[in-house]
Amino acid sequence: MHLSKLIVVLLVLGISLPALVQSKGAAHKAEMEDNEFAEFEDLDEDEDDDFIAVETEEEEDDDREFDDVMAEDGEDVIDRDEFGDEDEDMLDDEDDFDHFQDTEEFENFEERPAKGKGKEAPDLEITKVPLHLRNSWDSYYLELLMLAGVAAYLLNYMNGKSKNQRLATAWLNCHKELLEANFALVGDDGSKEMPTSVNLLKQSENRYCLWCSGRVFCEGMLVELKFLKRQDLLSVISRTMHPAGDEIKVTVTLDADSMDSFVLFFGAKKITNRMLKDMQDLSQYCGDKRGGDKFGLPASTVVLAELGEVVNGVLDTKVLNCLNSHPEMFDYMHISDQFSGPKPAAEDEQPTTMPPTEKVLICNFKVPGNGSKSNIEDMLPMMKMVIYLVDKIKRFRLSKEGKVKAEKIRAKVAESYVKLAHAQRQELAQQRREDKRRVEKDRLLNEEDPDKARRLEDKQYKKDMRKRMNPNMKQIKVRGT
Amino acid sequence: MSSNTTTTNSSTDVKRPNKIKKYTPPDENSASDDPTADYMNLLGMVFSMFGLMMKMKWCAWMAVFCSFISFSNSRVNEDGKQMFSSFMLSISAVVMSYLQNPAPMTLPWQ
Repeated sequence: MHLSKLIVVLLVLGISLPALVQSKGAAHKAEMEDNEFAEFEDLDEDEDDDFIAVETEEEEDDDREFDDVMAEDGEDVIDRDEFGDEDEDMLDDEDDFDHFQDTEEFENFEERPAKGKGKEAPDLEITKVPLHLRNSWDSYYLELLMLAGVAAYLLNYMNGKSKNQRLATAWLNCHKELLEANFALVGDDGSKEMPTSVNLLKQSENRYCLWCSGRVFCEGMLVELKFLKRQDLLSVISRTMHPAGDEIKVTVTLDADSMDSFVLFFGAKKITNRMLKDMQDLSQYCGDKRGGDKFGLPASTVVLAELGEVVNGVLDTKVLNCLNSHPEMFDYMHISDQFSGPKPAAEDEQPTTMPPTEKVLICNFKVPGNGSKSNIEDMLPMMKMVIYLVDKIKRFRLSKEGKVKAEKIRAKVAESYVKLAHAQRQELAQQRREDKRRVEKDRLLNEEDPDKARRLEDKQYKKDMRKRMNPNMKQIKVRGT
Repeated sequence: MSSNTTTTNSSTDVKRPNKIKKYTPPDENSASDDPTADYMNLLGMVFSMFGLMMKMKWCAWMAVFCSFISFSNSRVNEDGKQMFSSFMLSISAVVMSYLQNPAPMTLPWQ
């Protein structure tokens, strides 16, 4: 694993180096080009000066022309003068543009003193040099932004990963004693040999789990620590809009004989509605919702119970005290003897046989606060409550009427599965019959010999008539032959 | 806490070493409750393709980010090869697009 990481880093470096060199080369080239252009720009500047000079000369000519007109006051003279002036202008222009053909004019133009506006020229040169440099790096600002993003992501990944790791070890250190006192096996990873030390099983950077087993009344207990995705910058950002917290989910699989038949769920309104829709057993056994304040629970909770007596039977004062003293930690609790997980996703995947069920106690807790070590250590009473509940559920028995009622509901659910299976079998048989008929009809249509076709048709017709007249007749006849 | 006293009182009774059941990891094929890694992997693949084929630099960069997100959301027992190939594809998309045209990136709306 480490080796592969190292390889990845090396490859990334190896690939990005040529790209860097390339981009540097490109930047240098751009600079060169810019410099060449700069030379031309300077030239343009110079030419402009020349043009201005020409214009002023022309203005002088015009003035003189005007003077001539005013002085002599004669048409012929004016004409002559005008033509002559024009010729003179052309000659002047030729003189003015002479230096464009002169190559020397371009090469050592810097040595020539600038005409008229010489003060501004040095200013321009000073400002332009750093501008080129800045331009080439400025234009790559998006790339720099992307690289900064990658760096920020990596930093956050390291930071978030280690924080989740710290929280997980803090939880384990705090709960280890309690768990080791209750379970013979704490922290199994699913491998063949027994674990020598208690270790959390890491599922991803933000999920850890711990399997405990070897206790009376239960097969095992799975504790899942669902931390926030602190290692993922995207979810860190999205959490600023939808705040969430760390969660701890405890699933205890109870022994088959250590729980009476009942289904009970309670939790906040939102999660209760969702679970009622999603969970198979809740939607089958728990119809009505009741407010939690009637049973001494926090007012915000909603209770889904198969039988009313269960709520008061299971939730004694100790449990209620624990829940009421830390209402912010509690999310939901699901106790069921018919737990089969969530409903099948697609409608057409309706199971015809009853799904395998188990007796479970599922508790979900929210870790309050912003994920500090002390917050997660405060969760210890909740774990004690769960273990207490395992014993409590074993001791709890339904009343006689309650037991009868519960059995009736279970029988009804089982019957509904049988009915569903029957309906599906019938549908299948119908489908098969129709297929058979279609095959026969095809054979009739494809028959080339007319005699044979007629005989087949007759046979088919007789069969249909017999069926339509009296469906029982056929059975008798079949039995008779 | 009173529950603590009950557990300590009967701590000798409570543990059952002969009842130990080994941990069975959840089914690999079952849909996980966090599909972010898979989605980001797919999205990264699409972005790399666009970056490579259409010479869109921002697509190539997005592909790099997608593969990072996919990596940080992945499960521990997941196949590392897929992650590796996703990284390779996205980075090669960036490198190729800058080798062919070293001009700075332009945003899609520019």
